[in-house]
Amino acid sequence: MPLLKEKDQQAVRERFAKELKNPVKIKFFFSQEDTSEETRITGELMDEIGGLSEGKLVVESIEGMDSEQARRLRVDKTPAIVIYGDGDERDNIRFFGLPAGHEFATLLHTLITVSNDYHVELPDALVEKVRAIDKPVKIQVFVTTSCPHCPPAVVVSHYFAMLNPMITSEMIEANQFDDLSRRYGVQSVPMTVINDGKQTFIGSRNPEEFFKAIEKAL
Amino acid sequence: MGHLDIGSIFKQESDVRGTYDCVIIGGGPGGLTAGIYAARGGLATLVLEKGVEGGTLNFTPVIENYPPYSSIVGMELAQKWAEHAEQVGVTILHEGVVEVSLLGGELTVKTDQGRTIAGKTIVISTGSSYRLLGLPSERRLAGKGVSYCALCDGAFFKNKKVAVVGGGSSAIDEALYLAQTAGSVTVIHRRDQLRAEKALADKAFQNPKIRFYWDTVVVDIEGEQSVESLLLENVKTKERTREPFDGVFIYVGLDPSSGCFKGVLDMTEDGFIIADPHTLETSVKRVFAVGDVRQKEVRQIVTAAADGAIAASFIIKKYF
Repeated sequence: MPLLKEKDQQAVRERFAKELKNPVKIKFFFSQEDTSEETRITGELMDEIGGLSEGKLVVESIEGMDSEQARRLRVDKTPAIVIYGDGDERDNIRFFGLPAGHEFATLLHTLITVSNDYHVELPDALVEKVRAIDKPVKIQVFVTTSCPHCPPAVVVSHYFAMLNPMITSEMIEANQFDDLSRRYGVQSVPMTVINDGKQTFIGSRNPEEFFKAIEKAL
Repeated sequence: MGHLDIGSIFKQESDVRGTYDCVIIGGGPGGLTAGIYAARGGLATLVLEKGVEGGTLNFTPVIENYPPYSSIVGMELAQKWAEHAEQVGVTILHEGVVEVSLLGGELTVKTDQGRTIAGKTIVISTGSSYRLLGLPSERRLAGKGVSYCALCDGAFFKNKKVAVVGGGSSAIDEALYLAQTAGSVTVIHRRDQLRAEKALADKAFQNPKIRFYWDTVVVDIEGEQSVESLLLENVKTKERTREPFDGVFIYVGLDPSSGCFKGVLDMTEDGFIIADPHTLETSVKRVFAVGDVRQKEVRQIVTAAADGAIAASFIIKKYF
């Protein structure tokens, strides 16, 4: 049985037909040791949305953390999804955990934005500032899939990564990675952790305020 | 396994115009219903929503008083509503409004993406946001055991001991939701009975995981790194007790999201926008207020929807 309801499949298919432009690569990582339901479903979901895209989304499932691709794309836990446009392999737009619930919208929005030449919806002045960052930045946005506040936080973080390869953006489903959540004391989502805790904040901020937190973490 | 739940598949809007017949600020039940009526009435209609379509619906685990659904998940109802609006031609744009200019010849709004949009009429349906208890420790421990969203954060309190502060329908909704996973839920209410709807209250009374502290207020939230205990006071006896808790969810009421309109529209002292009860037009012509943000007696999904229908119908009749 497909994961998405008939009606949802139709909506996704129509949206892809209308809004996907260039091909997009979806690298899905799993491992034999990880037998969780979430990982299995994430893999099925990627295949399913790939099938709704008329070939525009190219899904590849990769096993093992010690695989060559996992090392190259810096994948250290599963389930993981790394997304990039055709012909420009990059590893800085990432989802860890099953992007269901409200995060499914984030996933679709990310795929469509990547497909449209990474055209982000941010004010021009901010785009320039983000592009000017010349030091590595790691942004981890902890979410739960039932959290309505969470998608905007992930979308903005992913936008930053799309604009600048120095910035790595990760959605992290807090329940599936509870060790990591505990390390940063996540008890409320969305919680954004920049450069391993140099700056953290809770809630969705507007893009300018979000960027200020990055500047402080540098 | 059943189908996967997915949220609203929010859209990237490429063809936004500069002027609309009706610009609606806020995409909850009131705003979306105004949009549906306006679009069906032939008006070019835009809904601006800074978060997820459906607004507060998305924060309600289960809704049991929006007829004829005997029980529907809030997120699902939100999606249906947005789908309906889009089907009839409403454009939904995911941008927040940072500035409005309602005086003078033209009504305009400025969005957080720097876009300026003019509306021949404007409907304000910005709703409300949760009210804080107002304790200094509440801010310090926000996100560290103090939460305002059970749906978002409930998962972090699996088998833990949590408190819910408040006695209205939202508080009891959240208590019932938390009781599914938490070890125990204590409802702390300053009165000796609930304000919540009876059907909901009865469910909570029957739930073995939920207990009630009546006539009790939270005086302080204590803890270094995260919530450790609550200092409680009985309002009748003034007796104070300290009790350990892992988390506290606060639902003590709602404040209108009307800051943008202060000084421009007539409002109550609490910030609720005053609108003509028959037409929902505010003190500024061509500007309407619907749903939770306006001064009214009953704040329900069904009354917000009714407001939307009334405002849009009047707009069509009088201005187009």
